[in-house]
Amino acid sequence: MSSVASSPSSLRKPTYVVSAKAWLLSRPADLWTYRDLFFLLTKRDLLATYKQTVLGPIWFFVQPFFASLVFSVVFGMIVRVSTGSLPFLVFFMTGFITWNLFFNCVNQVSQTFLINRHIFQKIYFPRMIVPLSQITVNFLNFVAQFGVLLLIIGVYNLTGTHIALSPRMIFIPLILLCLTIFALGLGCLIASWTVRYRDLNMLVGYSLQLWMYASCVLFPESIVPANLRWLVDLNPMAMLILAFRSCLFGVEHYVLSVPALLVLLVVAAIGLWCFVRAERNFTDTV
Amino acid sequence: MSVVIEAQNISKRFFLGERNRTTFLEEWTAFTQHAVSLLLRRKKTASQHSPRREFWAVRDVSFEVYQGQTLAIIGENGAGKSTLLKILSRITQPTTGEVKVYGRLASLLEVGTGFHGDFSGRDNIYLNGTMLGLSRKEIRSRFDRIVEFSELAEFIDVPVKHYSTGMYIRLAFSVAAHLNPEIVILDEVLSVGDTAFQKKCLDRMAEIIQEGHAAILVSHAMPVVRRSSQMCLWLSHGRVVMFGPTDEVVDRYERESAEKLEATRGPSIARFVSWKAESRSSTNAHTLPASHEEVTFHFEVELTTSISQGQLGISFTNAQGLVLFSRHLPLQESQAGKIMVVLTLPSLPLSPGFYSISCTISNGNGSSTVIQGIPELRVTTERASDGPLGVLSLPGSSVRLERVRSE
Repeated sequence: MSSVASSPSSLRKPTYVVSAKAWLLSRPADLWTYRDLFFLLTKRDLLATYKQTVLGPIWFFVQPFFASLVFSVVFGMIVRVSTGSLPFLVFFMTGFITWNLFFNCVNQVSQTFLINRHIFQKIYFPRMIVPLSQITVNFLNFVAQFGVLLLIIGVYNLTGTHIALSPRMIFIPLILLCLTIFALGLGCLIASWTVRYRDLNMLVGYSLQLWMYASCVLFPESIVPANLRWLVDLNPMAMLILAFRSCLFGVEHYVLSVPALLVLLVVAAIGLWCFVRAERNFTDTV
Repeated sequence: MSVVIEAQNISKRFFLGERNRTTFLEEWTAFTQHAVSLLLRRKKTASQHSPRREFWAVRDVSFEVYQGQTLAIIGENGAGKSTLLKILSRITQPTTGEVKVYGRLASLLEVGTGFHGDFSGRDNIYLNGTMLGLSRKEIRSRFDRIVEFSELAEFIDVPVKHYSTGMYIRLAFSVAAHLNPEIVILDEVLSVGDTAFQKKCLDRMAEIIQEGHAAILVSHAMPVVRRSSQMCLWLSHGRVVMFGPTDEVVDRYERESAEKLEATRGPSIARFVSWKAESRSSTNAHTLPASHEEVTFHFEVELTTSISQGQLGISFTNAQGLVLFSRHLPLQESQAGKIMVVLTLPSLPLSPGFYSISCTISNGNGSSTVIQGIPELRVTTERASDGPLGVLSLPGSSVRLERVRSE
């Protein structure tokens, strides 16, 4: 206020400029200015899921555990997918919680504009705050689920099945970073498309489910037939899940796939680009 | 005085019909059709080539707002007022032009957005506040004042889904009123809440403006515009019709809307010429002090046809549209031409404020015309605020205290 009062207008810097020529609607620095909103949205979304449920936060542990148990029975005992030295439950849960992190992030981020359009049409804040807080919420849930996984591994070790953890675990944060960047990019890409094509959202859920089967969540890399190798080689999620399992247990010695990494970077870049483009004018169409 | 908003050649273009083709399938069909026609090198038919119809919601609008000033934006519905506000508050990007904003801008059109029903009033104050650009620290320091202003202290930890609409709005407005922005945008939001709370909000807005902040007001109520703004921007079909001191702009706006109204009402039988009021202490033809002395109103109208067995009425209406006083007289045989209605009142027992004077003229054959007096009548007061309140200011009223003896 005082700065507004004292200096002549020619010397003052505008708080913000809205210009037809501007490439970005919000400056990246605004993300920092609005960091408290980020914290509160994250807190709200974390708590909102538990409101009015009996089990509350326990759901986040129970859900992936039961899903893993069901898949273990079907694929581990009936179809008998070979998972090497790892018990199928541990094998599957490792991939499944990682996949779930990706799935939830993409699914939620892709609905950013549709769900928040009433807010976005009335209040300015950097729109990217919303996807970022959703990614954070999902990441925190992942951390909790990862804790459950470690607990299960502990139980196996106590009951006589030896499961060794690899020192390469230190690379896991890097893998998760790649995964969240990819999920953010892809989510943003879909989000900016759904502004114009609402029915795209329907497709997203099914496509993601199909995608899971091509991402080595249910089976090790070794059983992928040669004529379908390209599905794994070009698939960033297969790369990340294989790398994750490889770093955690030291099994399935995995070498990063360069094509998949390129796909990841290109999708992330295009996604973010489309998002900032959509941010400028999406209120005109939604 | 320093500038706080500088808008230069703002335009916003929309494409009509774009919304219709919203499914992926339709877009895809259009795309393949286009591709096929290109492949077959057919000449494009008119329908395939039809350019999207464009629509300029705002066109080449430039204005400035200075510190301590209130700018009113007026214009009929669809004139581009809301689009302009959306551009100013960074919700959408203009197609051309640039706006420089100096200072934090808060728009009261966003009252209550982002509230989450499952969370308490307390949580929502924080969430809404940060959404509007405050930090948690800033909210913490204002929290008590916000709660006190909302009068919801005992419900502050109740989930807002259990609030009544009134409580909800009170909470929302309280947050908005404590943003301490340098620029406030008001978009006729104050039609909400009970009268007492409305008054509180208006006072708070006045306070914000008095603190040296600037405001932008969008309103259809000309008395409000005249009272609270110094500069006025009149938009019509996205373009600036007039930008200047409020009195000049509103005078012309009211004159033209009256003429337009007259034009739409079919053949009018009379037209407004002028009006004035006189009393012993009045100095201005359209402003009277709220005193209890004789007042004479002269209301001049021009009859465009001759009238037989008609009627003439003159009435006073307050800002809420309530008719306060009305007198009628028969018009037996009148030739076309100017006539003067002279109304004498022994006193003008009205509270300070703005009132409109209108004259209704009806012909024996059923046609009638309402003529609005321009500008409105302003009743002023010299007394401090301990005077009477309400619509009427009754002469000789007195009030005193008496002790009631207990037995």
